[in-house]
Amino acid sequence: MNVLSGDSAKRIPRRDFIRAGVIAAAGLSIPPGCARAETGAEKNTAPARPGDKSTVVIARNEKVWNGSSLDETLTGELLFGAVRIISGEKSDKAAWKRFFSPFDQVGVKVNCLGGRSLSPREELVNAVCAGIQEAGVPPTSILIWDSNDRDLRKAGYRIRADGGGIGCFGTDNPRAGYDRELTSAGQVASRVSRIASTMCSALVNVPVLKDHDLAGVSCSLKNYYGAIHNPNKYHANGCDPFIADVYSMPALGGKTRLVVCDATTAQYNGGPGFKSHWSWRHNAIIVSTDPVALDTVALSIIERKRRENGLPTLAEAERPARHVLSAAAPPRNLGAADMKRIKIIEIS
Amino acid sequence: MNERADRTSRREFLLKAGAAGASLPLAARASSIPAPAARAAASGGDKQNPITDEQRGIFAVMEVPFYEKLKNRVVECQVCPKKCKVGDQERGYCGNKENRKGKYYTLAYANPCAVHNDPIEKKPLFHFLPGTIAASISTAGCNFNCKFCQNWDISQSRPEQTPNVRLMPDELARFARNSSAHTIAYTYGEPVVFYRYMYDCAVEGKKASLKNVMITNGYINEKPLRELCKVLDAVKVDFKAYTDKFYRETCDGELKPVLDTLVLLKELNTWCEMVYLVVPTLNDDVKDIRAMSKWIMKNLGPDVPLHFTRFHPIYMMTNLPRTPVNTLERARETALEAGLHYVYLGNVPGHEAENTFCHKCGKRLVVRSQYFVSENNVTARGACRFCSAAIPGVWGG
Repeated sequence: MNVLSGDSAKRIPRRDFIRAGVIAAAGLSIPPGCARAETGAEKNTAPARPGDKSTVVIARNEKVWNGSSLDETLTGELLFGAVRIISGEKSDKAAWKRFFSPFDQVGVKVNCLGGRSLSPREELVNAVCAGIQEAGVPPTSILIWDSNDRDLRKAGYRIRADGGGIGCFGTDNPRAGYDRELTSAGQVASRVSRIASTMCSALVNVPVLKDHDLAGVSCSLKNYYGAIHNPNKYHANGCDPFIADVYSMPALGGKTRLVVCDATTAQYNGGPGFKSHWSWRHNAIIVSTDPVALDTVALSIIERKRRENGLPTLAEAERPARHVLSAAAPPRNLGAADMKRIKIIEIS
Repeated sequence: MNERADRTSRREFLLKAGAAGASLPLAARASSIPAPAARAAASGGDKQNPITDEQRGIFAVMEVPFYEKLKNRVVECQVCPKKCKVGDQERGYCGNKENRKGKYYTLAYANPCAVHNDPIEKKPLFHFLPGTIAASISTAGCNFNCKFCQNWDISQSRPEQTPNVRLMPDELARFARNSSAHTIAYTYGEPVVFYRYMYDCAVEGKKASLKNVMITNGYINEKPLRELCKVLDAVKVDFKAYTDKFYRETCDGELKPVLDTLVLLKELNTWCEMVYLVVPTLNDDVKDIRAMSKWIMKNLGPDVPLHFTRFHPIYMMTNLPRTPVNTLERARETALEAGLHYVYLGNVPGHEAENTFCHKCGKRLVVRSQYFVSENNVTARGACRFCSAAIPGVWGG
């Protein structure tokens, strides 16, 4: 196994990865800066000291697609393998318990704006929910959510708000709604989804990997625009520093335990809506506890793909994704945007 | 935004409409449409079935005028100077227009979240049919984000986040007529962002012999404003400050386009009044107020009524105190010294400067107590009853 920094990470064949019990051998651990939540689960993590590195695991396999669906078994293996690495635990149960306690109410925030073709696949979200249950969280304490029922439905999710089993509904559902009061963070003042602020004690951030016509990239950080009532107010200046400000809200970034990016399909231009001619099957699931590090890696993937297809860089296209740097910088300190401080581990 | 919208539930609205003499067909029709949440529950929308646009309170999705289609399904809105470039599936700054596969739609059409009968003085319009009623509506959304907005819970929301009533333009005109209103007022939020709905309502209002007034921040492009003024009778502009800094930092807008709007209204001969909310420490500098007054004198003339109104802490500005009354009085004196004829104070009930005084003879013409007129000495033809001087405005004749 090679654990390298930045763009130069080498891949571990999936067979070797699983056979060698590579996680144990790697001896990886949660970054030293991690605090423990009161429940015993890990909080959102970012490197605590200048020398610390954030880990981003890219779990990639070309066979993850089975026709127009994801292979559920392989998807689960890739996700669980990545979570074991991130957690530094040997078993799935122990790995997921690092992030969630049986007493958590867990919200799985998906980004379904891109419709069925460019939203987190249900197979992956199901695997995330299975992982959360590994930690002892009952299905009735898990909720898949986005800003509205319509987008969820368009992406293929079934609205379930009856309280039986895993829930699935948007903030606009009568069960949810937005806070009455505003939450201020930096230059942003918004009403936060009650799903995040009131109904859930922990969040899993499940974005997709895509280009964004204003922000440059829409991935982990941008996903929480779908958790406030007025995202339309924060599109100026490439959404900077507004994206970072929204993420820094205690009810959002503050509750996020894990980021699981669905990069099985990604899009390098023309986002955020789906454009088939600019999308490709990247066959990857990217996992981290550091949203900034994950987005920095996501940005490098988008830029590489744009380069391969003869498109200008995002900076040349006047949308350089400044919000990623703003998220990393003081006073927000949401994570690492410097590749030298990011440890990329690729598994397959 | 000065004029606060009372929050009215749909049930309350219907009761009020009934009490005000709203037409039975409107009430009957409206009452057959359950409120969004009730509808969703009734249809099982929160269980198995997805919730439709209509169940979310979005009743008519209409393509908007004044936008341009760009490459890759991006559209550029051209109603207001923000000129939002909006990608597919995204919304403009106002929050009530959405790009759906390269076409730009309003979600606010026939979808008001506030419907009331108000005295015209509440707008405030003091030189426009005093003592009459204005059927007043608003939808969700705004092209500004003023940190002191009194209606932020509707202006800074999206249509699906507010309780709405389905009200087509002809129904609104009928409601206004049956309520004995003289005017339809597009107000509370920012009507520029529900342009198409406002325009169609104004056309229906004209057909029903009603006047139409827009209460606005004035942040609108020339072409749509020219078109709109063909069906408007008056405009009240909430003028935020005479500095671009204030517009940018406090409202998320710019000064210049608002000045252009005021000049264009003058050119189009559309009756206009201005309101200036005096926010302590931010826009209460006498130098700026003097400069603004001189600009008004030079570009609009002395007859534009100017209302200095009192700030109350709200929304993102709860750290500032209410405006001291003597600050407002100083602002008024400054504007009068610059030569303006009609300068009022607002949100100070019982103050002498709520009344209208003839600029010629100085006699008290219209006596007001907050929103109510107890005496009116302007003739229907707009003349002072004491000295016959022409009093600018729309008086009824």
